[in-house]
Amino acid sequence: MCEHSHIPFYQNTRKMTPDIEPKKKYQINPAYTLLADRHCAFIFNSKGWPTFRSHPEVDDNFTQLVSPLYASIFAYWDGSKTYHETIQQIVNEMHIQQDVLEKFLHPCIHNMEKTALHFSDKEILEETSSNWIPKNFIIECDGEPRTDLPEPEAFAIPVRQWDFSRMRSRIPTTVTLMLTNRCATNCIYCYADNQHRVEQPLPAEKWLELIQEAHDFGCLSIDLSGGEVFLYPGIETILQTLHQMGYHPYLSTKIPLEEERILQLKECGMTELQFSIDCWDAALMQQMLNVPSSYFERLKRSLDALEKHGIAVKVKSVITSYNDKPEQVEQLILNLSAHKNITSISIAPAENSLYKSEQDFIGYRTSRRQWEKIEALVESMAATYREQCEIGCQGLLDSREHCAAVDEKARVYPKRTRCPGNINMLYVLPDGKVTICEELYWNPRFIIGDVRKQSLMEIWESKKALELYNLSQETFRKTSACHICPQFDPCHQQSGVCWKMVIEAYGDEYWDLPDPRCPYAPPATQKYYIE
Amino acid sequence: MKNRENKKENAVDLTKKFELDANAMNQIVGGTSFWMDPATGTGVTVSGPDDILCGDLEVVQSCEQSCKTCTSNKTYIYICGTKLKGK
Ligand code: SF4
Ligand code: SF4
Repeated sequence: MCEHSHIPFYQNTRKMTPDIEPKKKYQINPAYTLLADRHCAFIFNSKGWPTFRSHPEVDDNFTQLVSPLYASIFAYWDGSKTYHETIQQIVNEMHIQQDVLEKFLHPCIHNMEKTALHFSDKEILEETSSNWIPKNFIIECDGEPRTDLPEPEAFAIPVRQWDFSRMRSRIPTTVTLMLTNRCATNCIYCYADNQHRVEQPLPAEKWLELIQEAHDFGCLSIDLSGGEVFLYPGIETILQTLHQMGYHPYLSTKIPLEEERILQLKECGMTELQFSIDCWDAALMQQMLNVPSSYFERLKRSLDALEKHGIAVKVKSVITSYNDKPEQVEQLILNLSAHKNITSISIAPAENSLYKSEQDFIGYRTSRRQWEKIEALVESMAATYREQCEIGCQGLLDSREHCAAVDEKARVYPKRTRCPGNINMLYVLPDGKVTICEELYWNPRFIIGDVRKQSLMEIWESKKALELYNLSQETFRKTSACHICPQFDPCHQQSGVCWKMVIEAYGDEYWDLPDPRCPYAPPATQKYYIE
Repeated sequence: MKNRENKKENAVDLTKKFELDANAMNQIVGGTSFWMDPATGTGVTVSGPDDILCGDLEVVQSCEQSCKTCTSNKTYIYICGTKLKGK
């Protein structure tokens, strides 16, 4: 019997949406937008979509390649016409029969879940990443029509040019600006390359120029990062400009801000902030962050002031061997949850750093045993505080995934999270060098340009950036499984490999070995995970 | 933003721009192209652009081609239209 015969026939399992009102107006959910690319189209979250809070009614961090023909149909839904009129217009301009069109569209209207437009077969659905439609994609329009969507014609790419095999968008849709790598603390578990001395940091005017350029080419998200962003002298102007342009950068800090500073930042548009707080104990904080003994008191004052001025705070707590006792975590959550403006507490295990030794990591990492206890505690506390604050644990980079049996890796690896670096994301370092991923910092292999000499778009289209995306299999050493892997192109050009993990696992010199999660990968030579 | 409203009032014919005829448009959107069960050779209707365009369809069980319109995972089943073959 043929090996493929287990695949069930197509069945139309799309749910018909029962309550569409022909006289009402519908539009693409303002949470999403469409991007016309050269050979395909994408659905992304809209420009400036705030990532600070999770939105249960929509899909956050949504990126999907879709057929240009689908995108063209979707682009009609700007909310300027009624359902009936829009359908008629599509029928007239695209020559699609009305019943065919409606059958296609209905699963995308007020869809409660992410919807696959294709096959009903589960295995194919899991394997085929194309044409997922995010939840509540087209919704009833209760306000103004959208003017930010491209025209349907923008997607009318001749069919012979369609290509769904490459995920790299024609513009970087996410640009992160690392204003400084200076920090106010010196955390034992810091993953960053904060030893790199930046001789000439970019001035605020240059950052503003980059923001203007990114805005002009249609960048959807601009984030700021550090080091410590609030140590950068021009932060207020940068923040204000971003907010005026409709961007909501995610801000993260460890500086206990004084009330006056909070008010200044609020004037510049800051409404929310991530604060890193790892424990509720002055002495331990001093030990973990290398800060003066006054730090804890200042931090408490700062939390009070943020609450007083209505700034929403998300807390991130990093767990190391120093603070991994469940009672320490419990005390932290109890104290934090007394603040009404704290909207979420996210507990994460400290990760390995490419800029520290393996021994350092083994010294500060928590253990799987402790982590499991923390997970159980957090789960029970999350239930208690559900109404008030989202409390949860982040995933563990666990030896079970990274040292799993080949079969298990083969099952999991194709479903890995897509690496956005150089696919739709750029990262500008404080001296203007541009890399593809924050965690790779100044690693020369991944530096694709310099904003002191080139524009962002020149960098995005540069030979270096394209070569890094279109890596040649030939250049991989013969002893690397990637050298002969038949999956080489899709692996690198669709989900991508995590270069940071490759380097963590084997060292910089062996950057061309497989991603350590890949079933063909050799065992890691360095311990970069929790055991 | 250009004046989207006015632009849309002028009837455009997008099929030409896609270089597809109305029939192909309906095939893609309506899923009236074919997917054959290799065991029985029976044609079934599927949805999507994976295998469109093709009046003459052919089942290829281990496809080595990379058709521009194919989004199938190559470990499954692939139908290549003759128009796309040999590209
Ligand atoms: S990491 Fe290398 S060996 Fe593994 S699937 Fe990708 S190209 Fe193949
Ligand atoms: S290289 Fe790894 S850490 Fe960096 S962006 Fe890609 S997936 Fe993320």
